[in-house]
Amino acid sequence: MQEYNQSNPSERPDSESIAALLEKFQPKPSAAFQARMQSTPWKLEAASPRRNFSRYAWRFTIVLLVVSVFFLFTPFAGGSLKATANRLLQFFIPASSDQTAIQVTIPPTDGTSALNPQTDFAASLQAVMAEAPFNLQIPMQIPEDYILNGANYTAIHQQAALYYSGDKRSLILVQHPVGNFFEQIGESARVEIIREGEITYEYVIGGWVIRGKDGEILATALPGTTVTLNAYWDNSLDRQTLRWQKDDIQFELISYGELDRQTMLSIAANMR
Amino acid sequence: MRSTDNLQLNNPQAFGQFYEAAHLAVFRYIYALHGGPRQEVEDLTAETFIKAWKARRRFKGSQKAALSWVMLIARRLVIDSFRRQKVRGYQIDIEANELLSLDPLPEEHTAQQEQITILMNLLSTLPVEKRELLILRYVLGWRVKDIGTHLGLQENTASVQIKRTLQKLRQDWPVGAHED
Repeated sequence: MQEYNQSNPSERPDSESIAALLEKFQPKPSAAFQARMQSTPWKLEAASPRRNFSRYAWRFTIVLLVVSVFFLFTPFAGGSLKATANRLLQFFIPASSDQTAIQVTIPPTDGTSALNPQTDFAASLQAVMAEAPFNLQIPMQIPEDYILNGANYTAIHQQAALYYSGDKRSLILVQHPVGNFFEQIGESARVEIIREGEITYEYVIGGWVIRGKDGEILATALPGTTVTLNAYWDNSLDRQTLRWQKDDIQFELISYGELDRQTMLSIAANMR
Repeated sequence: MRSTDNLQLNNPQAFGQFYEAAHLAVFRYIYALHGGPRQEVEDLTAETFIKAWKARRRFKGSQKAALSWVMLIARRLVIDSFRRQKVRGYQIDIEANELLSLDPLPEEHTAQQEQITILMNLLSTLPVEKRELLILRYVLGWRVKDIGTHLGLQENTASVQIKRTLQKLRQDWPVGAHED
């Protein structure tokens, strides 16, 4: 095949040279992509020895591939935690690395996983408003394709959550009275601090994912058991979190899928 | 790829093997058709195989037919992504070091990278179906006969269209664009 003068890219090549150039375009997926594809449903099913459970595997994977790591920050914590506290942001606390251990209790396989949004957000908005010991804030402006799919209230944390879903994306709004309740993020996570008026927002892209062998453990663990798994922080994950505080209530807006930062800020600024 | 064996995509292990054999071609096809950035291309690649997995029970055929089937899924996803952007053209975002066979000298590598960028920008001006012809033929190395079967064209028609599209790219090549 004829080669043209490659040192001058502006020279017009002939058809054969263009074809040869196209043949040289051979990109490869990134390591992050390869890691992400280690937890695909076919891999998890292939690894599952129990066929009757395998059909639940993907559902667990969808929900649990992305996990939130929360903990209470107490004044009695040991030296290492105190050291970590030096890096404490307003709402997030960075881990010492991009890997952390979490405990997951596998729900009963009665066909209605407690991790399924349809059952996890089974309460009505009115019911949660009645139960929450604070005035629940509702977004007044959300993208048109989103609908409110349900809500829930967790008494132990006095936490209310609203679940919206749109076209291939979803949004969870969490709110609770201010307390020592932080979300852990990976060491490499970048927290963007945005100040608008009197409110300071913290915005993070990414999340903890369970992958590889831990994904298989999760898929094959017996219902009702608690397993300890490694979660890995992934900055490329399509998950955005915006946290802020207003009038002694702490808010967290979590978006899965395409929703830009400005839209999230707009949702946050228009709550009643 | 073997073309005669009937592929049992319903079996997760068989699907996994198919994924291993096909994902690179699907990734490159999407990258060249879509134009990047990489993150979006990887998302579309993952979504293609997840869609294929969900629809696996409806598929019957050989490994070659399965590749053609996932390419059609990928094509639809890329076109949907263009619709979301509300522009048929797109911003090319090809990362450096995307070439398989790099020339040993850095300056030649840089020149080749520039040529690829020019080429990808020109590709983006073509209708999707013309773009696809070139990608299948040269980026993926498909035979013209297989391209014809995949796109529902006579082999001769596919061959003529490929030649004409290459000529169009040649005519449109921005001569002197870098001669400052």
